[in-house]
Amino acid sequence: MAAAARVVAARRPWHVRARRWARANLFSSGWNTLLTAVTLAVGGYITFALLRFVLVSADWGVIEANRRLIFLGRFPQGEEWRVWPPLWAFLLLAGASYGLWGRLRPRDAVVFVLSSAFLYAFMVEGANALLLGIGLALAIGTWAASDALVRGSRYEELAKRITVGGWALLVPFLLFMLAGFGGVRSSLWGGLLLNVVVATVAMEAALVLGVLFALGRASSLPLVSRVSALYIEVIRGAPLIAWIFIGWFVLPAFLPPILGLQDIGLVLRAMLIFSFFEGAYIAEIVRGGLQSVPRGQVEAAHAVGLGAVRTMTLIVLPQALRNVIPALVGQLITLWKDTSLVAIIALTDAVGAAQAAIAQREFIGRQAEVLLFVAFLFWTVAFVMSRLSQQLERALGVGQR
Amino acid sequence: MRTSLLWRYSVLAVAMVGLLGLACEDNGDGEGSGKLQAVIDRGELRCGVNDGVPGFGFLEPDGSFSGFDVDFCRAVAAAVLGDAEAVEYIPLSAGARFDALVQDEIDVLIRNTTWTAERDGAQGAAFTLTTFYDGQGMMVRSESGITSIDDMEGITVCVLRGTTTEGNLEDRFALGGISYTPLAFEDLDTLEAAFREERCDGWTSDQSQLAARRSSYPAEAGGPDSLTVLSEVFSKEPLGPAVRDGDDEWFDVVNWVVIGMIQADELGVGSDNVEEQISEPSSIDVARLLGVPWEGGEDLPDFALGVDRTFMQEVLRQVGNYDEVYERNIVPLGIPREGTLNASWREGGILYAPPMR
Repeated sequence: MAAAARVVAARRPWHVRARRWARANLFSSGWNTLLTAVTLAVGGYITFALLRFVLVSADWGVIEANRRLIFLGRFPQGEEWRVWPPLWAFLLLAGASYGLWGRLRPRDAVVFVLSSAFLYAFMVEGANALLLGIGLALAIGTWAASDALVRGSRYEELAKRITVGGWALLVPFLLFMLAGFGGVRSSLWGGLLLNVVVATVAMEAALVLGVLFALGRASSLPLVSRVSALYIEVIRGAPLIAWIFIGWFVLPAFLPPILGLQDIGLVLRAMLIFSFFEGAYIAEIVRGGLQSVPRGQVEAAHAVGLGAVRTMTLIVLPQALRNVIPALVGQLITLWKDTSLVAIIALTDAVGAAQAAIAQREFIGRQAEVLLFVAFLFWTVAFVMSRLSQQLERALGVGQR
Repeated sequence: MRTSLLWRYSVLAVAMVGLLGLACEDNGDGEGSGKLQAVIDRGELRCGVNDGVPGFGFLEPDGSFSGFDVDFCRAVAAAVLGDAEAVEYIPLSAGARFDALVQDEIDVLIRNTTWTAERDGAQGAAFTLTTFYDGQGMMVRSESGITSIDDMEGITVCVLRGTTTEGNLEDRFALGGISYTPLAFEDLDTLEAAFREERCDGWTSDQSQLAARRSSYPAEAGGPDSLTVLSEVFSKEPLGPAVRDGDDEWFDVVNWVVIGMIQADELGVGSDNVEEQISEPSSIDVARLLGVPWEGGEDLPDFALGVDRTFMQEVLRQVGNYDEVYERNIVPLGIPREGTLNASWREGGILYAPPMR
């Protein structure tokens, strides 16, 4: 305490320091002074206009009345409970992963508290408040338990394996909860739920496809490498929106008329298109990763007697994937936002639902409110993905070799 | 050379896959004929709708579809399947709607679509009887005292950019030899903002859209009463259901459901009195509409429309007649039926049902 006080006393008063800092960084020359003034004016005006809109002139009644529509779309009444178990599972796994691999950063804790407070203040009420409470309690509970008790104990490896397995099963579990045992058919999935379902399925499938085609392109077999290259170049050669239309109008005609394949649902078509489209991009990212692994690694693996398959899966791929995490996550965030394009193939995702809500008579002309809100939802998910990837990078020690 | 051999095999493989695809397509086309049977087998009507037009097709907060067009989807489902709720709604953008129809993704398109020669011919659609006669109109501030377009000399008019509306506006003012300044906008919200700031004195769009915007005009800007929609209409926009060309049976079913609902309105049969009229029809025309015996003992002709002779009973029970659908969806927008083109031909409108006999 005394030492700290001495340090503080040795420094100049804060206003002197602030003035010095400002002079050095903001007003060091005439040009910089001008830049500072312009930036302050523009930033200030934008902040003021945004705050005034959000707090004063916006009418958030349209969101309040249409929360269900934006989150679930046309999901049938009385079936909403199907959404909760997968959400709980996600929160549980997120909590466990954070405790096992991550480190609690103040910024993440603040975001968690703020978003929970936001949800409770504006988004949930009645039974949903209780159900969300269960989920948040699960997240905090598993985080605390795994951080304090499991980490460093002899169960750590086991817990990590269970958690990884849980993540692998999460998307199948989500699909099972939505469609299983007399579930809701996919044409009624909607709102943000639809974005999440399409994005998560496509992410997993695209990662698998991407790795396969990256290995294929790097293969020494000419047919395999040519087919892989052809796939990548063809898919990347046309815009996503064109592929989505092809999935809508052309794909059913190419499917064989067996097993009812031609009646393939729109959601499944969207998942297929997104998987194959993103798969091509991810293949190129992974190929970059493969090339970044030094040749010596492969030679060393051969020298200790590993075969081709084990060299790839144990030595090359782990290093390759680790090196391209930032690019991969960037691509996945792009995929997440691109899922709003399903609105053009007759599906009602969050953006489509928001646009539909402002056709209700009492909310005509409330475009700015709904679009801002939906943008906020997309940003929140993208932000969480970005934070998770940073935690992952840290846990895997990227850049610290 | 090894690679060139490989190349040839690849070409061969691709060609075979392509042929297989073509063969499959031929097989699949069999179901194209007999749309009516396909809908009955599926037990559900796939209806292409709009999810963003007030009064015509939009999503309620609970996620259900609602609107004037949506009610006609429900009517067709009631007639064909006996259940007005057996509809899968497929929200379509303006650009994709005819592709969806022609590619057989939907059974019927009821999405405030104007019947034009090009769409009927080149686009491969077949339009049934019109359900709503819309047309371009002009809205002004009530205080301006403007009562007709001929009063609008030298005025500024707000209009959506790049739509047929812009061209119609030009034609109408050229016709009257009136000078004006157009002010074009990309979307309705910026247009409304400009109108509120009095950057223009007139606002032109389809009358149904003007009425919807007027009814939600905020109180702080003067409320709906501060605006007047002029009675003159200067373009024809007949809106109605469309099916794919080439299936007359299905076309007839959809067409006669629409006609039946207009006919029921003319005869005064609706959801409130359909049960009485079934047990005791008040006229032979009602008996013919509902497919019930008439006391004179005259045998009713079978229409052979492919659906039950009593198909209008379920339509009226579950959805109602034309007037009920109009009252439910269009009147709340601020467009009364009396005095418009959509009034019955007996009351000065042009809604006229061919006889059901």
